[in-house]
Amino acid sequence: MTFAIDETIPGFNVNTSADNEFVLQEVLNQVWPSAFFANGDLKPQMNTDLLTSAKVTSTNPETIVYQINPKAVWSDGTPINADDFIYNWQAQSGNSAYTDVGGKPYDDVSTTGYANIKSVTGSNNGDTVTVVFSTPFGDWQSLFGNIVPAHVAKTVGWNTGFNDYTKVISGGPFVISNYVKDQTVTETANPKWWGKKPVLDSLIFRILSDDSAGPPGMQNKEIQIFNPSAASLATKQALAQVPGITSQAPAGLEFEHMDFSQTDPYLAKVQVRQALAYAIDRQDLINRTVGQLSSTIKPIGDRMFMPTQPQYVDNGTAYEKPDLAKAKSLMQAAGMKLGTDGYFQPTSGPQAGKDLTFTLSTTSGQALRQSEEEVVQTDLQKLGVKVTIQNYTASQLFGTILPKGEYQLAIWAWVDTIFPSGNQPLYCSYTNSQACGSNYDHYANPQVDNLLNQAVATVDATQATNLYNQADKILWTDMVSLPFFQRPSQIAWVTNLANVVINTSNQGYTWNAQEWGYKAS
Amino acid sequence: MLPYIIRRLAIGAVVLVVASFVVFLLVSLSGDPLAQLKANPHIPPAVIAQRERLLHLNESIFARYWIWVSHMFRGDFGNSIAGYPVGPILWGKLGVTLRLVVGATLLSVMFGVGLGVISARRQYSVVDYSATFASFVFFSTPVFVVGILLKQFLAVRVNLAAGKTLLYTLGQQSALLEPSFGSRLLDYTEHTILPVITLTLVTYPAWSRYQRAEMLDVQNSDYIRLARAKGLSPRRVLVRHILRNALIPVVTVIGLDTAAIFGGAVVTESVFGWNAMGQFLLTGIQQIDVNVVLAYLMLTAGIVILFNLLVDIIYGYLDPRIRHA
Amino acid sequence: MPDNPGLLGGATDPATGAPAPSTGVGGSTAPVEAMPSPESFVDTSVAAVAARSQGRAILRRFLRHRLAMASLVLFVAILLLDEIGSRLWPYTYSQLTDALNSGPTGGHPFGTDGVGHDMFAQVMRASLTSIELSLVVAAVSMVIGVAIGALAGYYRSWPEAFLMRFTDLILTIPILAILLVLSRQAARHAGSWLFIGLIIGFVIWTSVARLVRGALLSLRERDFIEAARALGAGDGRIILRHLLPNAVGPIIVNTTLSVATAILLESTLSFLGLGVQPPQTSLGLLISQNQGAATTEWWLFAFPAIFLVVIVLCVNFIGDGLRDAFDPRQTRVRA
Repeated sequence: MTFAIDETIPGFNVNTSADNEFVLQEVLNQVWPSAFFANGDLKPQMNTDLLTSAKVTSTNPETIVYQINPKAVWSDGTPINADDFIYNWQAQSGNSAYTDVGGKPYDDVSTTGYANIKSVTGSNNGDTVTVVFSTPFGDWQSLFGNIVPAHVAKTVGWNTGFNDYTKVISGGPFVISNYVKDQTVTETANPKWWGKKPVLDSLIFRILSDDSAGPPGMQNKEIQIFNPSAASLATKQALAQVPGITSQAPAGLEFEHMDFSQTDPYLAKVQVRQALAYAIDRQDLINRTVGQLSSTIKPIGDRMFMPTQPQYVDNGTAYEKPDLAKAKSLMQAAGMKLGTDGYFQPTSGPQAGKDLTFTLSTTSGQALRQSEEEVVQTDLQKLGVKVTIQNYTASQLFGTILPKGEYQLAIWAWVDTIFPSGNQPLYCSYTNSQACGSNYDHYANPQVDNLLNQAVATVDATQATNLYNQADKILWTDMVSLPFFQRPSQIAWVTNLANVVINTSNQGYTWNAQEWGYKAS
Repeated sequence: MLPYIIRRLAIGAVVLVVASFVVFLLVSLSGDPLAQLKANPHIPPAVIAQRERLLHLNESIFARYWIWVSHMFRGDFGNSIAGYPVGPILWGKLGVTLRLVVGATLLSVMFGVGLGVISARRQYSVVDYSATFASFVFFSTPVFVVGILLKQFLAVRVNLAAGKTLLYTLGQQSALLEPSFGSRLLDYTEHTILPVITLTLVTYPAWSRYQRAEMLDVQNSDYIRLARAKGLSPRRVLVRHILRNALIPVVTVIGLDTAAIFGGAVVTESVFGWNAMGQFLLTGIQQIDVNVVLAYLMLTAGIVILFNLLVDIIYGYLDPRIRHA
Repeated sequence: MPDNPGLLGGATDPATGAPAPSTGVGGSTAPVEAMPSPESFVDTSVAAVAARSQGRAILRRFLRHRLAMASLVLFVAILLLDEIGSRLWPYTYSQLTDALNSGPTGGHPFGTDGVGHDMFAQVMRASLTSIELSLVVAAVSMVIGVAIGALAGYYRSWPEAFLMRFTDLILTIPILAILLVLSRQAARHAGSWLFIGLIIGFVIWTSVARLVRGALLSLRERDFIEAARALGAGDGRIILRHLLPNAVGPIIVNTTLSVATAILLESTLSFLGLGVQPPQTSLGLLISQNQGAATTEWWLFAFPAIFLVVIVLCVNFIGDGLRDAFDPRQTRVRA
């Protein structure tokens, strides 16, 4: 069974900033054990092979007790126990008192949640783990994913020790048996696996740098499951010509959106932002792009939860339909005069007396984003606003342009996880602090801050959902950003491969690969 | 001979040092390799500072170049941004790329010289005209268009007709290789056929045109007329006199084209999803990984210099008039 | 041996005008054949008459070259179609029409893509950009090449050393790799076609330079130059009035062929994602954007690809015809 993945793998510790890639999670789902994982319904599900229970025993202070399955062992025979939980917490705590081999600071992609933990203690021969938080953390189920073996990490190092695949011992159904850099990862059954035996003998991950190579590759039976890096109509149509495969384009957890930099004097006015939002025909945008891949994709009305998630609420009903007349009156309310050439002209500020022109930016080299830009450009021209396009490479856009606020309008995607606390740094009031560093628009509203702070600390899921959605309603009123649509992902597999279950979360499609198998034909 | 070789190698070394400095500046100044990392609000500053120290980004650009040069002279290509030593990876990829480059060069020589000879022998015939026209068409087609067409149309059809995969379009080898040498060789061959054809189709036209022109020049020269007049058999005249003399300039052109074939290999590998030197270069450029880019350039340039030296030595044997001073 | 063998020794023999380095992007070596022999040009007081009749002879030979003439006509036709046709055409290349994913029809002869672009308008615009870009390349490489080649051939010393080392560099490292490194800088210029054209021009001038140098090396020792010098002509005048006109044939042929090389190089850079960037467009960009559609919405891939190949083919045939016209001794190897 060969699975095509689209990026190369730097190393095998997915919790380090150097290795954190979506594809690596897909490779490691069957190797590193996780306390919880995102299932096909986009809900956190306890790993019943690893744990027999995980319970909140107190909310003040927040305390979680994990019971580890006594049969759980690493593939080298060492039991999986509280030491592993303690090590993984310390490594990701962001506390400089803990260091990696050689006294180096731990390289972490995120310390969210772990930084809130006061203590992790083991008891009952290491099978019971008690986690006590110093500040409450609602998304506690996101913690202790991709646990690395403490006894190995302490000698080879957290940061780079697992660049060597032979150090990657498994706590899951498969073990990495071979790795050819930039080419293939081969996994075979873990002989020490205590759970249900996987059906397939091996999983092979083949690194594929170019999506257009996928369909001929499937046709030639070189790959059996294919998840292109960017969904496209060409890929969909090419896959449709391949016999004996199933191909789908499920809406993913990432959504495209346009942001308005509030450091711009015109976009700082809420009426201007609202006017632009009313001028853009999102349904037409969808019809011209991702709607051709999946007819279920609709304009979205929630920044915190996606329509495919159960918590979704349409908070953006006011913007359901474009309204050019309303957009024009909003522009006038913001002090713009309609010039004789049909373009609005500001009466004050840097563009006073000139046709109002905004620069629209996105990542270069992405066909979908370029199409979005063209539709936005056309729609805003109808409103009477000129748009010039200036794109940057991903590293420039995300590394410099957005963080420094050197843009006016920008299109990119936020990738949601099933844990909504990740939304806080995107919308909490902009300050120079690290915490709200992803609020590139420099938006600030204390009400939103308050709601998000409460939501993040709420352990009760329903209550937290409610708080997130209240915050989103305010974001719609303030028109902080215009969400477009869910980006579809694309997945194709040979039809006689059974039990492939769509999972659009960042867990990836291999989340249940231990259950995959070929149908008897 | 020896002083000549030493002199040529010395010039090559100087060119490489200058080139490496220019490329080092260009790549280093094109951006911050850690920009994306720095933009991630979750990553603690200590981590970024550590990565910066590892990559020597906290030092001046000249100091960084000096570090690179001094390692280079010890045969160490330095580490990539992800922390891997570049040298060993590159050597592995070189073997893969050479499968393509050597295959395409040999096939192009056969094609180029063969078609050139046939065209010249049957000047103005249908064969000549069609070969010439085909050469011009391939000469005018970008290598990736040739590759895409072969991959999307030829491979799929051939495999369908054969009922099994004969021509692979993905990667340089299968993931699970049988250990036996025979099956490995077969697997490599099945993966290499299409890329080699692709690169050959854009490489041979110039050579065949050149071969044809040289053949015609020699054929019509006085000494060939003399040889014919002496009553030598046509076959002997062709092989011993015409071909030998006409091959000399073509050998030079092949030498000159080595760098271009490596360039074409970058594109061909990209079309067929090979993870070899081309992909190494492209990701290096995208990630602003200066050690990777320089390692690629130094290695290809080194090969080109050595190969051209070899060509010139062969040249000396083919053409007794040339003696290297 | 030439006294300055360079890295490639006998290969760069100045007297014969060495083969141009190839690009490795489809179309490798552009075989620049032997220089017109200096004997065939006469520069004296009767130069005006001689030049005129010679120019006429060259023109006549070119006009008789049927394939080259046909290519020239086709090339001009494509250029006119791009320039004029795109103005008269109801859609602009960036306009979003209401026809999505439509195959070729009367209203959209080249079909439309998923967003609603009219492919005819896109291909017109892209061909124009590709041709404009290649003309920039030709101009840049000719100016640099002639200037450095003339200095190197006439003065020797450092211009020659610079030329030869730079040539060595270009012949040693794949041009494509150099361009990839350079065009990484272009992201700041939003993948502007002008920038891409300039960097290609700055890299491929060496073949013209070597031809000019080769010609001047043999010409500068000749009697009529001695005569001009004796009459008090300055270096600049000698180079411009007496030496360069005698090298005009290979310069024109080589510049023409560099147009073809430039279009191929640009398309390859675009294919690798480092060429022209949207909202600008070029044939290479269109092909790479639509490569996945080759077997499905064939019109998205086929039309730009055909235009690209036909344009490059025309330029190559024109170059071939010019070469034959400037160097009648070579007509027998004409295709």
